[in-house]
Amino acid sequence: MFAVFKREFLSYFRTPVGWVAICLLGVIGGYYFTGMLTSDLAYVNISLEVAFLRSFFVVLIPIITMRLFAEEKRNGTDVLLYTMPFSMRDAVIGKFLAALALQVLMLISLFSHMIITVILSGYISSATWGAIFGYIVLAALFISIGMLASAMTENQIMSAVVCFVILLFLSMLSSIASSISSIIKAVLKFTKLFGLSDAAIYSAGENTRAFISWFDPYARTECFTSGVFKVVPLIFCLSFTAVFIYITFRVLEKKRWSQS
Amino acid sequence: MAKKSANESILREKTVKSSKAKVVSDSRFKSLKSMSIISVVLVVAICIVGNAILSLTLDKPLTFDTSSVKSNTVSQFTRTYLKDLDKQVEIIGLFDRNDDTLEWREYFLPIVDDYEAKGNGKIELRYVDPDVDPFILTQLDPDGIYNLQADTYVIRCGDRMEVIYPYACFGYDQEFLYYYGYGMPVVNNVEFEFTRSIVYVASERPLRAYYLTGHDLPTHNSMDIILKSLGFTVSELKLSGESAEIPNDCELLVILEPKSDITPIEKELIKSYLDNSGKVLLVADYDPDDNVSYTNLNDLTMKMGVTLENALIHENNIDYLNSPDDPYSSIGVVDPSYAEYISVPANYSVSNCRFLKIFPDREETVYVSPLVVTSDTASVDFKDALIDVSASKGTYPVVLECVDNSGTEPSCMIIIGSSSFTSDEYYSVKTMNDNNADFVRIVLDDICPVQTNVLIPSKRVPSYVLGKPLSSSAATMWSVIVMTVIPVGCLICGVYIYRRRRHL
Repeated sequence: MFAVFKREFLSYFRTPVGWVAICLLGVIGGYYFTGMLTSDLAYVNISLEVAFLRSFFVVLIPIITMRLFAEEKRNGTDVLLYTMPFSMRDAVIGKFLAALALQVLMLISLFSHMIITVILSGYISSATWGAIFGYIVLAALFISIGMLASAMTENQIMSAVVCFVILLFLSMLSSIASSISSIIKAVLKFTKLFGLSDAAIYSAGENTRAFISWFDPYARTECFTSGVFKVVPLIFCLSFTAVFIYITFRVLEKKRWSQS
Repeated sequence: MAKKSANESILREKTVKSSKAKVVSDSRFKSLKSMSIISVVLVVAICIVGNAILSLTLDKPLTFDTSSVKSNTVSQFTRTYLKDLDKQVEIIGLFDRNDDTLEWREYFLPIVDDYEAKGNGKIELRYVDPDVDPFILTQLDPDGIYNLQADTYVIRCGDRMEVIYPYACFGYDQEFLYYYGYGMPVVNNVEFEFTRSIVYVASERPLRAYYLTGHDLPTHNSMDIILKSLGFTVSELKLSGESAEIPNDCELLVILEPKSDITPIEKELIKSYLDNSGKVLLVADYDPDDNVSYTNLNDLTMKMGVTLENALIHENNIDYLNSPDDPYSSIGVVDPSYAEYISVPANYSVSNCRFLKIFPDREETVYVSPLVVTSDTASVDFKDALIDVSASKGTYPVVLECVDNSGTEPSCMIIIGSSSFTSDEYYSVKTMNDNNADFVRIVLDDICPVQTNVLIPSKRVPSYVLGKPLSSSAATMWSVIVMTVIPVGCLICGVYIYRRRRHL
């Protein structure tokens, strides 16, 4: 597993991909940080910057993960994965960890901003560390989704598009839940389908919304940014990360049987 | 011929073997495929069900507050109160819980969740967005008494209700407000407001305090907090017009730093209120630049044995001064006789204190007791008058308690000569955990006994403003470093490596 991890991680830096990703996040984060630094108040809250950076997951994660398996197929080196003396599980986990390590390394600019804040007598609260922790947990989940997309498709661009669409959907899940809730309430109210009272209709809509929002990883990890550490959201993200890694593993196993 | 026949036979045999192998391979593949699908479905189902069970059972117990001032969890006082709560209390957030445009949300959601978690089933929490479900407002407040609005919290128990406005749960930096025109929160009173509201709605008989308006009533957020901590609900009261009256439920009338004299109607109404065992808190600091003559107010205070003089207490004892250069900003001490009677802090911050003169020819039924006094070497500066300091040296009252026992039940007036005990300006610097706030709380608790005294210290809001002021050149330098040096450094590395390795 370590061999796969090392090969994959170093491959990011043997090509411009890793450097460009770090540079890109550095510019985006730097722009936000500079905005805070040069404001009238000099109000520098790094957790706001982390929250801002989180909104770029939908773009960054597909770029990082699209090549994980799709490129192997393009180069024809995927056969090596099936025949090398390590299990497919090791290959999947190694690649996942490499992408996650890159994502963590991309926070280097953020850490430099934290150092500057401390130098300028700013305040780094526990909420800031919580925000960074939440960022990494979310990144792990999204990387596993991107990795699955990469394993399922033959083409890198297709993989990136699939991952982008899924992440966009997840980032809009709260709004989607609200809309569906409103639609259900409106439909039940106007059609009087089950002869429900106003309170029951409201309750039905709210429960639907709560059910859909339950899957929203952004809402679940939000507590970390408020200085609250919750174990259950952490388990939620990690368990779904494990599920997506497992599905990726099954997809690749299936391909191996197909080849034999 | 025989050879040909043998070849055909071998070929047929091979074909049969190959098709048999294919059949075996296909069936194996199918079984592996179905096993794979089943295992994936199982894993996903286990994950969802497991997480659902965890969310329902362990979400609240496995929640830890990592904030430095524990602003996300309720304090011991609230925990104890909630443990003994015997009524069902509902907390309704009138906004979308997931609406991240509400900047104050992070200060409320975790701690309000904690109320529900520690409420032993007596606290029910829900969020309803009135923009999505407008009927909630009429459902909660059918008569429109509370003028409910979105982006607030409602605390309800039976038919009693209290509205919490998020922005009122903070103390703001007054200096900042003055210079920038908007408030920078420095003190977090969210827990205090919620606990106080729960205590109020669940209490048998709430107390009510009124501020007298019409005389440039200053902002009174800090005084509100003190009163609310004692279980009071606060309102403003205008006593103008012939039909004006002091409501029967008025337990305390607060006259806060009046900038003009009260009207004769107000004087009569307050006199009548005092005759009926009323309680009045009068804060009358002195500004030498004001030329206000308090004729009517003095008539009122004279009834309680005190006159408000247009003079300033001048502290001469350097040990009692907050700053050696300012004789009008000093330390007041609790009067020994009062300290024997009740446990109060020893020292208070006093600034611009009015000279409160105890009227010698007062009624026999009126008792005036100094509660906070100056040092024994203080003097009085009268405006535009040359006073011999040595002649006027002595101990002067800062806070007086005047009790009139002529009625069936005693009436009481607390007169404070300095706004340091009540003003928002003072508490924005000192916070509500100050001796002065404690003193006012204890004195009011003494004259208006309350059921549950909510004692929750304010929590500091972390300040993210840089400690060192940043010059424009320094800001530019840091901007260049973060926007250019770090990203461009990475880019150069990338380009260099790409050029070195592109032919490999």
